[in-house]
Amino acid sequence: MIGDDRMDVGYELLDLQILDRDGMEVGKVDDVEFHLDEDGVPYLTALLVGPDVFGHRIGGWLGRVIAATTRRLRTNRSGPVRIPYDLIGSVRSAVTLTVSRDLLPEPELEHWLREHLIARIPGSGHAQ
Amino acid sequence: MISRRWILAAGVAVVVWLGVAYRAAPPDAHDYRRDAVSAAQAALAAVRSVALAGQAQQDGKLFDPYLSTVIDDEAGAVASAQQQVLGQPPPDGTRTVRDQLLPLLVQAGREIADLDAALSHGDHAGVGQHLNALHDLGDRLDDFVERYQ
Amino acid sequence: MKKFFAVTLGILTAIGGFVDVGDLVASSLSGARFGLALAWVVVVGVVGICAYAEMCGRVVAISNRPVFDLVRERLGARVSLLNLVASYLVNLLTLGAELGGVALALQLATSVSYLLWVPVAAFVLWVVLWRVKFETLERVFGLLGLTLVIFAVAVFRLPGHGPELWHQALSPVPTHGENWNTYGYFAISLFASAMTPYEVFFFSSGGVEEKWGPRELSEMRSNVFVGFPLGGGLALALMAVAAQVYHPLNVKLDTLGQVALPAALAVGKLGLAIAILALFAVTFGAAMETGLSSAYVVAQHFGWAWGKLVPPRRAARFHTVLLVSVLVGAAVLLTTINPIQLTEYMLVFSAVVLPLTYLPILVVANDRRYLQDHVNGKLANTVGVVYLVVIVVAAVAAVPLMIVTGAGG
Repeated sequence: MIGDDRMDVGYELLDLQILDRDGMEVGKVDDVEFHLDEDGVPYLTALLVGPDVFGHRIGGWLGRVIAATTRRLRTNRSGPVRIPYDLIGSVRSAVTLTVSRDLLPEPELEHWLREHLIARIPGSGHAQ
Repeated sequence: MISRRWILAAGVAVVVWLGVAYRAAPPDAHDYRRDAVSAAQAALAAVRSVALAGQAQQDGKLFDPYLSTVIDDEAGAVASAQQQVLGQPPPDGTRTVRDQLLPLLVQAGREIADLDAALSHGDHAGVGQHLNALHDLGDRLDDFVERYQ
Repeated sequence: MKKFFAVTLGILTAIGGFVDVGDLVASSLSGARFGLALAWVVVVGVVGICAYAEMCGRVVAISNRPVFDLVRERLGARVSLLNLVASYLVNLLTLGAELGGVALALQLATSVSYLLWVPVAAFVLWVVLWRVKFETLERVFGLLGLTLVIFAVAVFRLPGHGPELWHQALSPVPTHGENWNTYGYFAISLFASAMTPYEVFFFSSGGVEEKWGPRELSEMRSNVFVGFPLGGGLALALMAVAAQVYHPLNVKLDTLGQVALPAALAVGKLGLAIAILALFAVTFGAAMETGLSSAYVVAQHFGWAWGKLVPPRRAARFHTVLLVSVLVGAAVLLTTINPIQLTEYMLVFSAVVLPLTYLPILVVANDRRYLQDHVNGKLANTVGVVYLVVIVVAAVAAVPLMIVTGAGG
């Protein structure tokens, strides 16, 4: 970190792993959201997680394909998973949140694959 | 930027196409000899492996499923070596190469099949005879490889 | 005492787990063709995998993140996406080759065609990865893999284990009838078989699941520095028996049955049975590791939940990738491609992508942000950089040599 309330977002935050309170994987920091305060200084408001924002950020034809495919497959809910800045506990080799991932919106792909494939296979509820 | 990428892609395509064209060109005498040597090497490996396995079976060192797998594999290798040689007409000046090799390949297939039969009938004398034939055949294939390699 | 037992078990598992279908094929083929003239490459490869596995283990123990997870932060999103595609494909090819090895070993034991065994092996593999106590099985297969020692026994019971082998090992040039191109091609295959990329993905992910910390560093190092070289010794034994039995006869080896034969010649029926068991154990063990690694790299790149400790329904994307990978691996084999050839192609492709696997490890292992005072020392960096040069040379030369030699012809 550069100072107490400043950091190099590109180097220290983007593409970092996000873990929830219990160490479960939430996703990667695919992009970040800024707002401007009344003096026009940008401040970080949220982490964004999802293949569409990832596709947007990397750009090029590959990025466009990833973003477009995600949008096309999107069913009911809209937009990427947005994690407000208040929920961030610490930033080290991963971003650790102060809440459980069950409180965040579930990624659509995970939801769809679980409902249509994985949960239908016997034994899907047991860890080894 | 885009145009440079296209030139690169086109260059790769041309190289690939030339490579394919090169490999697909009708064989000249040199290619034919090289293919004949590789067929002979495959048959050599098959003949000698079967001889090793046949002897080991005689000595009570193998199991039947293992032996039959090895013999099937090697018989298949000889068959594809035959196909490789017969599959292309010999260019000028290579007919003797083919005529020296083909009988060896045919004999290899026959000896392997006969050894297999003798082993499964428990015909010890026959097994010994075919093992000797395979050793001899192996030496002749080895000579062929040495001559044309 | 308990600690001693754990360390011993770890080392033994590392020995058995070192050899996979790539080592079986590369060692035996090159032993038959070149005698021990390529033995030095196995030594070079073992030193390389030791150096980089130790870096991976250190990264895991200090940062608690698997290496592939950190690659995206350090390489950036675009390059790491390319890395992901290449790593996934090479894992998938390796998985197919290992499954082929399992099926071929079963064919040797039963004489039922390996193609009929492929679906069975793939299904059992998936069930194991879905439900069964993985850690136990990993140990079981690692220990069963130690039965490869039968080939070391065979070395001393077969004729020609004396000065001739030393002479071959000490004259590292192409043997009679071979040229430098084929020599180089087999050298690259052997090098790639020792440094197969899945080994580091699996190793570092396993470390995260077992919650390694700084206290486990010494145990990790003993596994790596003792286990891998002894595993390399088994690869050398495979090479030596092929050199003793096939090299004098000018036999080019191309089936798994031929790989096992020296054990039968040296020790008889018992030797053959142990050899086939060993081939089965090392390929199945490696199939489990490559199957998981395929899913690890995808999940870790996108930040999904992964691992064997999470119920499948809590990691649906991870388990879907795992399932699809096993299916694709089996499908590749059912095209009736010769599994031994598939293994040779897999080794060449591995060689091509090696820089993508090992460069990021070297970068991350030097990053104080993850490793604090545990960053690479001078020795680790010197070895790391030297090997990176070797890896790049191998990667560049792999495909041209494959074309020129007709895949070893």
